[in-house]
Amino acid sequence: MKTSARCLLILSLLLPMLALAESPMNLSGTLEVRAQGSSWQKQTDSLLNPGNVIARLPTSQLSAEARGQIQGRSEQFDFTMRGIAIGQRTEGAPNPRDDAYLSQAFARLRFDSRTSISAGRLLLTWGPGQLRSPSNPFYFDAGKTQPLRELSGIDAGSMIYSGDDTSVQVVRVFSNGHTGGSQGENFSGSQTGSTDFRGITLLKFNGQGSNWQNSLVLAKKDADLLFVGAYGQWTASDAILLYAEAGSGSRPQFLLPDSYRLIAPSPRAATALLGGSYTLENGQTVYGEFLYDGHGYNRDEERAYFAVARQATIQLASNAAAAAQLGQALGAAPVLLGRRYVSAIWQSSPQESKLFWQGMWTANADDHSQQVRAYVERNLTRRVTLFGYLTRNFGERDTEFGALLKGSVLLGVKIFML
Amino acid sequence: MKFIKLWIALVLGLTLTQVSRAEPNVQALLAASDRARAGGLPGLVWDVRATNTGSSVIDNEPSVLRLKAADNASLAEYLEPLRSKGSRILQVGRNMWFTKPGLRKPVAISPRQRLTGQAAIGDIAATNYAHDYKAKYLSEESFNGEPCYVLDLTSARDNTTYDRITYWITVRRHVGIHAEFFSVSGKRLKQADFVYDNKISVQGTAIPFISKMTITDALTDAETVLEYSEIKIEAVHRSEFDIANLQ
Repeated sequence: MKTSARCLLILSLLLPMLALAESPMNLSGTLEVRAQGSSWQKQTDSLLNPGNVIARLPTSQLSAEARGQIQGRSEQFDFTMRGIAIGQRTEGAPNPRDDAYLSQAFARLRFDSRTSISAGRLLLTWGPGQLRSPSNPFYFDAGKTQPLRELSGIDAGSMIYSGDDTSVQVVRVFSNGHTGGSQGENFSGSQTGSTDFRGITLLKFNGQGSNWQNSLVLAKKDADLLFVGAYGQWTASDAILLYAEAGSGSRPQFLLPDSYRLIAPSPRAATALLGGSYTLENGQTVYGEFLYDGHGYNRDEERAYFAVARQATIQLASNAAAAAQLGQALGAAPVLLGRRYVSAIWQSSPQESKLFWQGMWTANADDHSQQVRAYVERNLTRRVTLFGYLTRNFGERDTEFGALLKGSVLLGVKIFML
Repeated sequence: MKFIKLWIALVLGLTLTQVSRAEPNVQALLAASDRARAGGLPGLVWDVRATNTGSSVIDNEPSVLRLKAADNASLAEYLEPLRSKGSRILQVGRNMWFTKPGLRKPVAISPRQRLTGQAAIGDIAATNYAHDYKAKYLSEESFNGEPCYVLDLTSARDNTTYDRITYWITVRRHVGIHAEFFSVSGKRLKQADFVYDNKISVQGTAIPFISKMTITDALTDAETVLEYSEIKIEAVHRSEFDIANLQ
């Protein structure tokens, strides 16, 4: 752990102790233990991962995870510490390292009714989009490869002034936090031109009325390109919510599709999302979204990308460089291969006490490949919940969703200890 | 000083009663009934226990929420059951967000989302009918043996939970004891009965305060009982209702 991160964690522990001396603090905690098993069905004739020699994807995986949180709240101080510990055993691939980290650890001090400062490991996420988060410079692509994996925060200091209809937030990032290891993939869609966030200053201006909210986000580090993002949401009626998100920045890298040459950072490009939701009388909600990602390939570029991969696959047995080329194709490709996506979600009410379910369909409108996902959570007792997650991909081997996996299944149990 | 306050309260009470016998000053009556449901107070922190019953209920484990409210904003945090502990719903006007520990980011939700069972956030947060609805006097009738003014409330703002409410306010105590809630089309959605066994002090005067609300669905046998406790009248920091502080 780096010195600055250590200081922040000490600070986040020290402040609540000071607060305890000043005013009574309500302490509470949660502890959840999970055990889950996953199985993947690989694409047998993959162009990017022939014979699974490049990606070395596992066939199955068993994992155990503990998620614990302690928090304290008083009139002027809050603190939160959330820790994750994961142990994993895989079949068909090398075991990933066991991992333990603090996903959030911060203290918040309220100076007066309107001003608060926070310091520590903060989860800087926002925006109404479900499919991706174009208005976020750090977490555009968060959690899309491992959707049940929890996000980790970034080590930063933040000050918020909350007016009646407006608020302003200033953030300074001191350290990357736990952005590597199992969390690394969450930051590969960074729109700051890098995954090294140290030294970034972020300004967020928010406005809100009785039935709308919008926000402008600016993030900059030294001589790097300025990230500009914005989002807005409008509660059109009791049941209808309309929203939009947009961002303009650069990614850590761009892989030229016809030569696999890397440009780092990528040129500036725009991303945008339009969406809406309708809530039925029974609390179920249907979402529809359209996403444009200017960092992705158009259909011709995507064809070129797979054509190079096809050549490399043919030469794999005779040419050692071909494996490196395929590795580059997998590791450095845009986080979204295409440019235009449509998505629909249908889910039960998040407050449902016994059974929660969600179905999600996503289509790459450029190559017409599709993905269907379903998540079900069934509460068995007060402390025990079963959950299952099913993914099925549809598409040819030279399309985004058809390139690597046919599908996956995950079954697990959560036990709420505290 | 105490005598003056008592005298003002008596005169005010008598005035309201006398006026109402003919035709009550409906806005003053509504404002008085709102105070017993936390309306017009500088801020409020309370715990709400919600229990759901009915043939469609497959899990009748109660939920306990801690609610902070001020002006047009409220923040509800689940304390029970264990699996929901730490989940929060923030409402500012008609803007609403839901989050829980481990969730990637707060999710924007529509006002139609319910907190639990039949209860919407508008049922649990402070009531400001005098501000949010235009009231019309309908009649005087007895409800559960207690003489009541019956008012017809029509939504005057776009942030109300219901489009129209018929509201029974007692003649003697000036508290709402029964309400029927309607949609724009005039369809009755649900009804609620209120009990006021709590007491709070407002400017040194003890007033009755809501202790229980029973919400019954108009079309099914579903019922949600909300019990209010640990009531504290205190200002809540504006920054607590900032979405950026929700995580």
